Amino acid sequence: MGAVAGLLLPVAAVGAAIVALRLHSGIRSRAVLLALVVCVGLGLSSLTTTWLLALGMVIGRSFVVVDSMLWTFVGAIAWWHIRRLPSASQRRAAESPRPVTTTDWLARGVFAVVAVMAVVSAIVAYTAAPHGEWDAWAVWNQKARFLYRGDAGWSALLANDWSNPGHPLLVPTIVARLWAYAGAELTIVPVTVAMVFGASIVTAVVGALDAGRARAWIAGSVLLAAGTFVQQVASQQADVPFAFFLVSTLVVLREATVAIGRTEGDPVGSFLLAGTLAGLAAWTKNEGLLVVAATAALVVWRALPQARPRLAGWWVVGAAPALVTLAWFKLVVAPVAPAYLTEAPTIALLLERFLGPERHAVVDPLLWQYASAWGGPLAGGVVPLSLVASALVAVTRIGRSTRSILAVIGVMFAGYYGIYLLTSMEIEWLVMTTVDRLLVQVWPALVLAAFLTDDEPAPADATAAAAT
Amino acid sequence: MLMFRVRSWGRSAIGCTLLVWSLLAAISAVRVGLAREPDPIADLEAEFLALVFDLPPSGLVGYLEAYGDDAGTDAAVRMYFAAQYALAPRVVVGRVGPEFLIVARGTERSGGDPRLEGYHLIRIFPSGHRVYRRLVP
Repeated sequence: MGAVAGLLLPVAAVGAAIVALRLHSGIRSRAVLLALVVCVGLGLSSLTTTWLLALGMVIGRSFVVVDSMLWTFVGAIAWWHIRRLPSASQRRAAESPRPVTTTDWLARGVFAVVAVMAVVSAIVAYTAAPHGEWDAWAVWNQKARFLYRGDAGWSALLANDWSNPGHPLLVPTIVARLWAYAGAELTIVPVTVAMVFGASIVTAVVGALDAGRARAWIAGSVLLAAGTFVQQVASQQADVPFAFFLVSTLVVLREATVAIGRTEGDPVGSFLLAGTLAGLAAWTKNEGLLVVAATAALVVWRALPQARPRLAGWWVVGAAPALVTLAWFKLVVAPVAPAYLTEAPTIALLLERFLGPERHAVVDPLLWQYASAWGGPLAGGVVPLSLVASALVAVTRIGRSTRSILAVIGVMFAGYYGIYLLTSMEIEWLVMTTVDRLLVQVWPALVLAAFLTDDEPAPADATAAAAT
Repeated sequence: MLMFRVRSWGRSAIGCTLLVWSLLAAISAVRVGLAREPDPIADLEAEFLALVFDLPPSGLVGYLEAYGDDAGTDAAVRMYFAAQYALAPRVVVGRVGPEFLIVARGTERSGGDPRLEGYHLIRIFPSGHRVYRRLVP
């Protein structure tokens, strides 16, 4: 019960703040907005927890008091501001809903069954491994235990180099905070956090593709049909929260682009939210810096041709809290290189690893072997197939958004590949133990890219076009 | 008009294929999950939690690592990592030297392990794990 309160407090406060500041005006889908509110709430609660730790507070009863007062205060201020906003009648009228066809009902029905199967899969996995998979209990939940049990000595979590002390703390701080609210280390807490992020991914993808259309529910079914994705949700690692922040950054940037094109809704809020989401991706895993770099380039690409550099500024404002926290953690608290990048990247090393054929000869077949088999039972091959489908959409005139998403995914893949080339660890072992999780990070974005189209002509328009 | 209908039928066929495949893949994933063996971490955690009353509440605790063919195996590494997971916020280091030392079952060299020189046995647990303490701090 206490953990539920701990989960709902920041979510409610952030939801109220988003409405009060009208950050949601550029986002058309309520499903997307719901997913954003929940996960940004959790993400920001991680940042405030880290700031309270930095101020010398320990995660215990006094922490719960201060934390709950903080979020209640934020929510109350936002609520007071909402009451001063113009009434609903002054806002734009909602569009009339599309008629629901038999195909729509079929797609929704199958999605419902697939979603139930996914939940059953996750519960079965949790029952078999309540502490999560290897990295969950050896890295993420272990750090949460240090934070929760360690009092002022929580920084002891940095002592063992095998537990990746430099990894960002989003997941451990969320879990430790909710344990503090619960008053006990319940294994249900980390798996619930993971399932909230997993459900939010599906909600964001279906919402972004317009839940009124059958394709959105088909995409949701495809997303959940990859058993590896569902298994990773139950594994309690940081890759599913990361996948949410990646795909939601892309969704919000796409919404902002649409808002600019339609000159309706204020894109400022969307750019601020996109920056926040990208920053939280970096606060979740090291790979998040790739998200920051790639989406920053996308923001500049979108904002500058519109002669609106102010929008890029709002993106920076959104990303700053998480990035400043990350910089403090990486430079002051845990100034250690990741285990996969212990060698200093000298020019000679970079040339040898990137241009020499030896590494490519090892990495390329390994990657193809694992990536082409990724997906779980009956789902092998979904990654290359989705890439082909996305590429086919991207080359059409309605594939502008897909091209942007594929560009970001391309940066992500390039980053992963570069690490595999550069690492001093045993490559086969590193690929074998990481590629499943890395593909989980991009899988929702890949499904989104394969199903997303821009300004598709309505059937009547298409009929007219065909007649002419 | 005909072009539009062909495209529409094509889309419907692809959509139906994806839905059927999604359903089958989701059912297969549940079946694979049900066949999975329980993870040993919960049991290992319970075994190591029994040691807490013989260890300091924080600080470094030594852990005698497996030797020979057993060193570096998944089972040996899992046991060591599980000890750390269970015993946080103590920092469990994989070496001798700290005042307290955990000797997990099967890690001690039979016939007398020279790495235990200077330590005396405090307790043997039903799981087979043992806690040692150094004679001279």
